[in-house]
Amino acid sequence: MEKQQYEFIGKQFDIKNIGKVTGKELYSSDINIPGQLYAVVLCSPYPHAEIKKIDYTEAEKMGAICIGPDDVPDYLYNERIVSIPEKTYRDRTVLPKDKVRHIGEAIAACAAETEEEAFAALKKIKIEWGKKWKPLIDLDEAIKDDAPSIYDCVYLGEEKVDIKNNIACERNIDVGDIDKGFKEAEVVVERTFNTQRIYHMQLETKSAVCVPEADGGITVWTTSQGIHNVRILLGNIFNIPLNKVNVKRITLGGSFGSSIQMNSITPICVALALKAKRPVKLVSTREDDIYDHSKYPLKTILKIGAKKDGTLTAAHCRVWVEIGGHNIQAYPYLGCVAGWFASLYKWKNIKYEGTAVYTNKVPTCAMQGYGNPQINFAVESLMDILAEKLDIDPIELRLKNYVGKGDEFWGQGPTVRSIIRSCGVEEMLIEGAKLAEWEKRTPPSKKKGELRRGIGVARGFHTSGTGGPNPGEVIDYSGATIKINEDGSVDVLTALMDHGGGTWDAVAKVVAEVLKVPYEKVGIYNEVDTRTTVFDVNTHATRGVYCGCGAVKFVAEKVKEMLLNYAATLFKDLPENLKLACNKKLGQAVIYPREIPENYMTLGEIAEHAHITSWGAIAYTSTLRQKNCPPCFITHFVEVEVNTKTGEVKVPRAVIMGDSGTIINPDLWEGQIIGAFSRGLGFSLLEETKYDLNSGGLECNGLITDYKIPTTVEMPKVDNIIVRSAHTYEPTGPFGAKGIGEAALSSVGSAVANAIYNAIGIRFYDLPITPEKVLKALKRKEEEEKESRRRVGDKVD
Amino acid sequence: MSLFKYISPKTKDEVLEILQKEKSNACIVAGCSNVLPNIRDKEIKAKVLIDITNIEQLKGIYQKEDKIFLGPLTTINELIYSDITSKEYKVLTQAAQEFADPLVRNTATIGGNLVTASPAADIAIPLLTLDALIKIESTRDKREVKLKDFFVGPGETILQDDEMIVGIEFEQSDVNKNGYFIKIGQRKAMAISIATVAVNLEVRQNKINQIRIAAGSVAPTPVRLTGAESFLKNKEINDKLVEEAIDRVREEVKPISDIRASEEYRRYISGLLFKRAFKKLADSSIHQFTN
Ligand SMILES: Cc1cc2nc3c(=O)[nH]c(=O)nc-3n(C[C@H](O)[C@H](O)[C@H](O)COP(=O)(O)OP(=O)(O)OC[C@H]3O[C@@H](n4cnc5c(N)ncnc54)[C@H](O)[C@@H]3O)c2cc1C
Repeated sequence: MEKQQYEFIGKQFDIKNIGKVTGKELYSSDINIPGQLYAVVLCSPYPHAEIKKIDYTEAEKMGAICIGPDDVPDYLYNERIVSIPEKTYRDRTVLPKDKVRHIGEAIAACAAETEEEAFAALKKIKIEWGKKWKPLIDLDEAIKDDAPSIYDCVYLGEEKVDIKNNIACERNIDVGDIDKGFKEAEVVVERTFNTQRIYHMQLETKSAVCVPEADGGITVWTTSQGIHNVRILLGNIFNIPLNKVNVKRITLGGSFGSSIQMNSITPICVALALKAKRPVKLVSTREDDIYDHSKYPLKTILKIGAKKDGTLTAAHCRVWVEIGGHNIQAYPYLGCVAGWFASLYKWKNIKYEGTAVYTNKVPTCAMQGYGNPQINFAVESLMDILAEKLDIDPIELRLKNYVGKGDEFWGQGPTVRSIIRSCGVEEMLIEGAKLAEWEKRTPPSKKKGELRRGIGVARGFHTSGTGGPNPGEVIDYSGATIKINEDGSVDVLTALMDHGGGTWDAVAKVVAEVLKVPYEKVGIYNEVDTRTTVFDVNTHATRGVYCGCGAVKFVAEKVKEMLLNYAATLFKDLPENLKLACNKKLGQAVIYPREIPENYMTLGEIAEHAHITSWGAIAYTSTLRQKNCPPCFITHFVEVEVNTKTGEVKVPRAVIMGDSGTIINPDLWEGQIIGAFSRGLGFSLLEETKYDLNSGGLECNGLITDYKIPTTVEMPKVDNIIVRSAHTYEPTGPFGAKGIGEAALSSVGSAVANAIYNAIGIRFYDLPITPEKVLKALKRKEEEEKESRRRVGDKVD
Repeated sequence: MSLFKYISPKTKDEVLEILQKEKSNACIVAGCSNVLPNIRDKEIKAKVLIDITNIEQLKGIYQKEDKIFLGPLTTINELIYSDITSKEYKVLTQAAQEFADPLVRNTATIGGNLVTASPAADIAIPLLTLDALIKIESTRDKREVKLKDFFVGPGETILQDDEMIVGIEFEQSDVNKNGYFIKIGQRKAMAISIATVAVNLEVRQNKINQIRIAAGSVAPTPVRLTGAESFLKNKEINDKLVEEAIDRVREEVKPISDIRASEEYRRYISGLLFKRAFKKLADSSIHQFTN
């Protein structure tokens, strides 16, 4: 382990995004361009209906600019272009050409001088509907032979693919010999699990502002996790040279994965602006937003085999996902679910079958974990069931079988794999158990009374980025420009996004650490765009620190090299004889000949010299692709209190252990873990976007009044959430760092469900575990116990 | 959004004059926590908004002879911090503490809560068990109505177009001082009730001298459960009685299923909440009462 003392890494400073706390930060919806029009979108009231004709002449008579299906390019695309083109399914246009496939799908849009006028014009749009179909809501209904087809065909890369039984795509993976594995098994357990759709509920709804430029290009401000992909897509859709599409990087008001893809309103805004030849601004309402994206649900039939001593021998995992009206990224999703599943335990022999099915619901996309919390719920619940069956402590069973150091980790499906080089699993399970007082845990049969407490454990992880020795199916690289100013301050220009997790703070610390420049002197400013930055794929897949900062570190080291070369000329010495250090008193980085610190020159002096003698700028631009995808691990110990009278589940206590290698932002790291815990509680106990089977609409009608997520009062008291970090160092990461964001959520649901089992002896297979479900299950159990007592009584008689 | 005329009178009489003139074309505005969402949802047809928040006569919590007077502009937060309610009429304070969040509680008023007439109006429930009297005025008339006769249906009350609430009163009696309120929602703050129950109880020599039970979100309006009340009155308290009363409560409520909970769950929970509230009150009144 090459643990070192750092000056900036792991230290606390003022956050870089200071505008967020002073209210000065600009988000896309704050952008106003003189002469702009305001746009509104007409959303489909039907879940599955043919559009015969759209007539907006009346609306245009009112002075509005309108677009319908005929006004947008025929270009078929997938809004998420993180996967390589041959593995990307394309099924959509900017506005649907033939029919709508879910309620809330945009069918037309208007732009006018004011939002009021735009709404008034929208009302004048006449739509002639053709055939209307009953919505396909349930997966089982959608795959029936006589179910209406949502698509006849789509494209996979350039290849045309016919869609049968509404199956969007499939993915099957075999490792080893599953039959042999199950033959070796002495115990086999099999269960079916379901996780539900939930809504991202990010603070900021999606917005876009588009300015058509005189040269035929466009400038766009939009909610996005990756501005370069938006640039490429917009260029392709509207056939504009990619250098004439400029997408601005602007702060995100939360996203949780819902802006990995280009948001559906972005090209609508562009189409309006191009038609109007004026700037257009389009801000989604909350109702538009909740009808725009959703977390993937998952149905899992999982079967695992083990020897009596707990050694696993085989696993068969069959998953189904209904994806809604568009295929945003179901194919990589199925691959990732396979990867998370395969990388949790050493199953040895694996059979994985995954199927994604279109339905007439809101399109699904990544949401903090990309299938990880979903499959984790199945695996970690079943591991608990197996442990009980084998009479082995759940922690021992996990320790015996986990995938750890030296093993292979599937960071982004079967094609992106790398060897694990740092692993805190054992430490986290053992130390966490101590902190959670695991040994005091009693079985459910020992619990009495109205309020019953239980403790559950579950472990998970997420990848840090999607790099690997082989590029696989996923595009992954980041880049930056770093330049030293004439006073020794530093500017970092990168397209890397910060969702609020502190990615930019990490960037600044990494640069400060490499160049020994005080943190305050490293600027990472918002006024950059796709024109002033090099490519960065996206802040997704928990790659911000590992890949984003990895690239930043690589570029900073190049700048350091340049700097030392310049300094060597000044010192009349060799670069390797010079030392770069931070002089806190001077508030400057300094360079001196090794062992002679008093002969220093400040970075400012060197930069100034380079400037006035016209040596040129000390700056460097490059990109880097990480060649590993190290897992950041997490372990949740959760205590629940089940109210057996109301069915309510409270969470009085949690011990959360994280393994992110070196932690760059300790406070924000803890914040990620605690924030994810809150969202995980919503996923486990409360949230679900339910649909009306007949209308195909959301039961909450798109209103968050009736879509609750937990608030701070649902959390354990601050003192009762213990967060600890494992002592690990990732040799391939920037200063030993891995990620955290998505890992932090992956095992919350499983730990809560395991804790509920420990409290009341009832296993839940479907999330969310609502009070009504708990109460029903308790009643059923009581009746079953009565029944069995009666039967025993009968026998005695 | 529509355009409105916005008036902010300084006296009650001015308000009544405007109401008399504009009738259903006018809408009173207090804390605005219902009016604003309703404007957005285009549920408000009125073109004149009368902001009553500057009218001092409609504010305050104070004792008036043998009664407690609550101005309709009393905010939910005032129910938490007023000495009168927080010390003696805790049933109101308890309901106020479960209401929305501190921000909404600072603006939302009890007058607005009653006139909204939502089945889930949280403050209506304790006011029902306090047997509150609603004072109503118009330019033509002054009248007083028992709260239990005030609600007509979801969103509907007996108020005429030209009338407004000018006060809410209840007696300073023993039974009113011994009350308990419980709410169940989907989460602990900012949640519309799945079910609420309030009970006010007076026990004399282990017998129920007076009892009032009210429930929210389990019928088209906030309701008094008079059937269960008369069943309990004058009876000696024991476990069997409580169990029977729970059944009565469950029979008397008329809940529906919606996105927040099923009918079945609501029926079950109202019985449970009644039991808890009743036991809480009975336990502090007598001692021989067991589990
Ligand atoms: C975020 C949020 C959370 C909420 N949470 C809760 C909750 O937990 N529990 C709950 O019960 N409610 C809740 N509500 C609903 C609302 O806050 C309450 O009903 C509140 O008491 C209404 O009071 P107001 O002063 O804001 O009424 P307003 O919106 O000003 O008015 C409501 C209605 O009452 C009429 N009105 C007001 N005063 C008078 C008067 N003196 N005479 C005649 N008519 C009058 C108005 O004309 C209008 O029709 C919530 C609302 C919001 C927005």
